[in-house]
Amino acid sequence: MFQKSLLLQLLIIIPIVSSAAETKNEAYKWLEKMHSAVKRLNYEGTFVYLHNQHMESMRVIHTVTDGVERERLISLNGAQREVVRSNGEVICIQPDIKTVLVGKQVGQRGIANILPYEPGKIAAYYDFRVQGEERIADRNTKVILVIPKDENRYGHKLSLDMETALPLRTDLLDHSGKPVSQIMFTSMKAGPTIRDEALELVTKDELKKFNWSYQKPMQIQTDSNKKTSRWLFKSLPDGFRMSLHERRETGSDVGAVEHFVFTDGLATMSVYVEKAASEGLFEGGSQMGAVHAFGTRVNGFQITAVGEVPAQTVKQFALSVKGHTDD
Amino acid sequence: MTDKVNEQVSALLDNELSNTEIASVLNGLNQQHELRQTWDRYHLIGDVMRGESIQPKATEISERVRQQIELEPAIISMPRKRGIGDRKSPWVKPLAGAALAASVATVAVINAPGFLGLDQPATPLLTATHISTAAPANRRNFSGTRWRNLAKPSLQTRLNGYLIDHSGHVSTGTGMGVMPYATFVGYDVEH
Repeated sequence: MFQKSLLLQLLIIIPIVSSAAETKNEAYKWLEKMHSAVKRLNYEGTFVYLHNQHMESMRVIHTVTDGVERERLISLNGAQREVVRSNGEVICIQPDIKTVLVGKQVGQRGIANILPYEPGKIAAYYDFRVQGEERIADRNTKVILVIPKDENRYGHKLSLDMETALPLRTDLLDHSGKPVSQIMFTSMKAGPTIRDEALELVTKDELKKFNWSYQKPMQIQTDSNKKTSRWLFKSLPDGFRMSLHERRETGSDVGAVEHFVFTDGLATMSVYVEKAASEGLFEGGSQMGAVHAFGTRVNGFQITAVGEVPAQTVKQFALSVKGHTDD
Repeated sequence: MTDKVNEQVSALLDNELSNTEIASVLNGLNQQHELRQTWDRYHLIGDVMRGESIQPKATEISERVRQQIELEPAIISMPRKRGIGDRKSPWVKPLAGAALAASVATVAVINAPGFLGLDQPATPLLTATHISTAAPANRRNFSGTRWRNLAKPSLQTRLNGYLIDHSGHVSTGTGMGVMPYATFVGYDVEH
């Protein structure tokens, strides 16, 4: 009798297991398709960005010319803001305060090469599932779930265009499945005819009169000089490993800013360490959109953790920083 | 002010000028109030983008704080009543601005809920009540940043610098390289 029921259970379990593996593999395939589509294709779309009961509308234009990606993000409501990402450079235009900030992306290689998106490697911390289909922006999409296995990271619900695999809807979800932020396209066009000339916020002449400031590039710390860092990270949240350590000399008496990047393969966290100024001490938690920050002080240094992860994760990162001489 | 002078100030900051040019710009700096403000502003933005802490020079504290308030008027605030005709600044009333200036000058901490102690938990998300009671945002001046619990403009600015810097390293679920910047580009109606 017992054996019979066990057999029955096995018969029931096996199909469930194999279909879970199938849907996982299908989800991987879709995510890989999406990853290549967002970099390779020309597209232009308008989306709504919802977070903490705030709603914003933005436009994104992505083009690839002779292998060079160029991407623009433009706010359509509220403060005029524009971010242009091209060729390893990030330009943030803020017409309201007539300011242009220019930053360099690491090593000009773009982030994709540093943090390759590999679903297989993140399977320990996330589950993957295909969850049917949905119509977004008048297009049919495949819904993919990326479910976090613990509370240290957020999950994703992605609705990918059947034809192009572009993400037409992206929900960032907390551990209980509640949305933290949502991005939904209301229109999306893809194809080689998309040109990057729509919606210039300001004319080139106006732009010249703005205050331009350039961020000094960070110096990537290789393995050999990584040891020179005086900082240790103790009891990091599960699954996060350091993917980058860089250092920027500020040229002032404040000294260098050290920047550590951690990733679990999907979520990314930054920890900044610099000599604490008496003024401008940041202690405790803060939040903007789905991004959390946490500040603390160790041995006279300001520690700031920033990332699109839950509040307790940034806190744990900030509090994990110890000086080499500490116990 | 002419573009040329602007460029010179910028170049001076980046150590790109010859000795004679430096002398000329410094001379101008001493003589022209407006030029000095430009110098201050460049310095401030440069500090922020380089992730340096902002250390006000004794001579220009009030001026810098005033500029800061103009640049970054978004002070996280508790709900407060506003007159119907009060459209000028929903963020900082003149008195609050003065208090802020004083607090920076004396390195005092102004009231920032949930931001004073390490063990104090972060202030919970603002409730729907708060949002519904907030006065309509100023329609003319939509600027500022929206870090919660941060009362100091210098901190807001510095966290913005970190946010932009961090965004350059982010791999998101969407795979769209520019999406991490959505937080920066976005605008909150609560102010």
